[in-house]
Amino acid sequence: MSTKGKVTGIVSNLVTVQVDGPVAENELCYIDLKGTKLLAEVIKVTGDKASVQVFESTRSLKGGDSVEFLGRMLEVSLGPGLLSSVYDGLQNDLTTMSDVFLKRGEYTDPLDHTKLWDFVPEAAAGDKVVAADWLGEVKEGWLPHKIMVPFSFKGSYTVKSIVPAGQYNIDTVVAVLTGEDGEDVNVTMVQKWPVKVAIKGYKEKPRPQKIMETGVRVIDTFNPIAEGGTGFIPGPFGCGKTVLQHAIAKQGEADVIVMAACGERANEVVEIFTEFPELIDPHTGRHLMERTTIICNTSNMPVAAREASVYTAMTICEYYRAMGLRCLLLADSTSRWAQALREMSNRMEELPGADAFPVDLSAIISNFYARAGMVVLNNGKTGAVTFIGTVSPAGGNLKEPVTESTKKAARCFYALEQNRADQKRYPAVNPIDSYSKYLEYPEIAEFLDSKIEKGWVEKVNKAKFIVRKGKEMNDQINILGDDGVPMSYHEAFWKSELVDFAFLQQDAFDAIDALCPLERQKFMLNLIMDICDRSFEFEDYEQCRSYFKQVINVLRQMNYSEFESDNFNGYYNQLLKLLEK
Amino acid sequence: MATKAYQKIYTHLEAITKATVSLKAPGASNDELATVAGRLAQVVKTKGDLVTLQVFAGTEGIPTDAEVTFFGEPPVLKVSDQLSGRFFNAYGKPIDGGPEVEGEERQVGGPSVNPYKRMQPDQLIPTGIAGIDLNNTLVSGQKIPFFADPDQPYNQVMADVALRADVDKIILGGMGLSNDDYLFFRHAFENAGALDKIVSFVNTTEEPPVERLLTPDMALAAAEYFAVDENEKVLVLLTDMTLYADALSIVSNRMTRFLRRTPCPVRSIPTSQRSTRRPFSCLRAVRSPSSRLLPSTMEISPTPFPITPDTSPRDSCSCVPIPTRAR
Repeated sequence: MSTKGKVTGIVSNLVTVQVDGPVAENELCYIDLKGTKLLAEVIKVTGDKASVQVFESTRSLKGGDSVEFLGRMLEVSLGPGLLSSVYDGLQNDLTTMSDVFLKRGEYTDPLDHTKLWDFVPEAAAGDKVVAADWLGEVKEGWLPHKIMVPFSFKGSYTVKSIVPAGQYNIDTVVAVLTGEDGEDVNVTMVQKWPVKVAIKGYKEKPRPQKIMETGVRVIDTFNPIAEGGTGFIPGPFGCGKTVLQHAIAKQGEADVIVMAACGERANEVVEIFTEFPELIDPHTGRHLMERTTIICNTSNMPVAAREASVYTAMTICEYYRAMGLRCLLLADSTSRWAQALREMSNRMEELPGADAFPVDLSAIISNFYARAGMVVLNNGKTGAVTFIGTVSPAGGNLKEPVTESTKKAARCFYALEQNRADQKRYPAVNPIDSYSKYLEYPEIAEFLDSKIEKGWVEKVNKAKFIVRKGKEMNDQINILGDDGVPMSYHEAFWKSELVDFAFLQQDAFDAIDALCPLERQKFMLNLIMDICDRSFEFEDYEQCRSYFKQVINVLRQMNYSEFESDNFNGYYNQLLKLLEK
Repeated sequence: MATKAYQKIYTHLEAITKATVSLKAPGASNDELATVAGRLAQVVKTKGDLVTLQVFAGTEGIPTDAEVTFFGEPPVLKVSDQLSGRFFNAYGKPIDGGPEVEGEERQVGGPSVNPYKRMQPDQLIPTGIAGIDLNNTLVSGQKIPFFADPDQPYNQVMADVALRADVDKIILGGMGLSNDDYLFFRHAFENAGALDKIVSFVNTTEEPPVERLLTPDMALAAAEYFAVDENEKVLVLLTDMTLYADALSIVSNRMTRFLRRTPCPVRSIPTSQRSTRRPFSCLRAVRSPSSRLLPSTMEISPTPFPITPDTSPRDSCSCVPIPTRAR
């Protein structure tokens, strides 16, 4: 007998319900509005009154309307078919909705129940298994999608029977497991999992050991993000946050990409729908959409579902991680999610924290970021969830609570900067303010030593130093004038400009420059550092300026040419000649 | 909004503030319209039997024994071709002396567009203004905010854009326009002979500020009708969003809600589905619902075009945060 209730109060999408039985925090309920069922989630209980946040508009709801509690938290269905889907924050399949407008109370099934999948068993009758162990595999696109023992299973089980290889739909019982108590349970290809709970079922969560290649120089070389790492991009408006994020999504070295568009403009999501199916994944040569799941709760969709959308996205990533895959989660933007939290907190008349955000904002954010990470699965294989969130600080103020809290939680910081964007130095990632804590990890340094070359981290730090020194010199030149400073100041400044123009800046709209593999980054950085190591004898600053401009120009032409092509080599020789002067 | 044969009339108000009244009215539904002493009001909060109504025209002179009747439905707009060339107030009533519009009743602030059904904006709307066309191109299905100081001629620019843009319908949502500005728009449209493609919903400064809260929803309901039902290219101009946000904070303040440092509600003012948010999400929301939609062969493109006078753009607490630059 499930708990029922009656609506007693409504403030926007916060509804108070008088309940007649037990309710759980975060339990779901349906509010009956003249036959339309509105999904809502319990966020507070006081006595027999439950406060629920409704994921839809509460228009026309009235006191006395009946409420039915479902006895479960917000869950997602996990199974083959998640990839290349487009969901809303509650995992409704948006592609199967017929109407142009989203109707209230219209919920669609996230997975296709009729499609047949080629199942190949990996476990055999008699095997001992625990939650998250692999029972079999289907091919989802080109990815091996493991069918696992549901994460909710506690204790160990014995496989009683498993179906032979063949085509089955997701509802077919593919295995029967016997629990320690001797009871049989059926396992299908689908399982449900509450989004707010992290999926465990792995052996350990070590520190990240590898970097995730994105093909963006300012990230991979200057501030690399680790596989299983966390990073964030605070983007004042018009700084190229979306372009950078799309570049990471397109080029990121990951098996599965989940993009959560949380409270952002719908047209940005539309860009993904239109572009991704046509784009080719540079790592596998397959269509990008085949490895991408999009969760969108755009700015005009109900606010309460924003929170759900980021959790849904994270849960899907964790599911794929448990298969030993490398997942990348991009959430744009977590500020909108925080704003949704703020609205709710204020409607509940909680005491506000800084800027009226809930006081536990920082804890919520760091908890969420902590769900990312690299894990070692029970069978020794590894999987990873890399998370990059964007933050939209109001007025470009990086001291506001969401940015501050995120800074504490994330290990990489890509400071997009208005100033740099105005100067058209794209990607507008400030090389001095940005950081990657992963460069300090001995594991990562070791990885870079073997993957790129010995002493790579030192070289990167040296390049960063050149950029910082150049900025100082520029300040001095601005104060004292071109003639008021020694020649070495000009030289240091132009060396930093060299690093900036030839390495940090990258053209996201150029087919060749957009994607710069690590091998090429190594070559370019070595070349540039070699130039920076030389000392030049300039007669005056004009000569210094024009010389470096020539060098920069040639290096940029190299960036635009196919690596090691004739063109590229031509420019390289041109550069060598310049350097001999 | 027709009166019914039998209607329950409430005559005891529990509380009155400058913008809201509260009374015991069991069975009132959220967002529903009502009249309080003949003035239009909307349910914004229900707590047990106690219902809080936001009175659009302000509560001056409302006694505690004022008559309150409920309509049983949220605000609606009658949509049809007859809307073209007409001027309406924030309630959708004609203010140009013409007859009432006949047509299908549509709820304003209805559901949002399924993002999957949108198309990528790629068609330029030429405005003939070099600064816009060359540097910050207006693309159909996209939304662009204008930032302007109060001394800038932003309404003139808007009118220019409206008249030069190659679109089938132009919907003007005027929030807190001064009467002179309202007449300016009217004359500009009349003189250009473009009146038949313009629909205006105007709230002037002479009218109560809270009425403004209905304006963008009315304008967008009309825009959605022309774009989705009639397959026309629509340009929506909303001016000015700062005054809209002010109206939100007035109601919020009267409901003794927490305010941020600048007086803007942190809590939303439940006026309608799209505006049930604090100003920022609210601003975003009212701008978003229209875009080019997929399943038609025709181009449909309502482009909301709000004007926001600049309140110190870099101030993090400024109540209208600088929204998107483009798209």
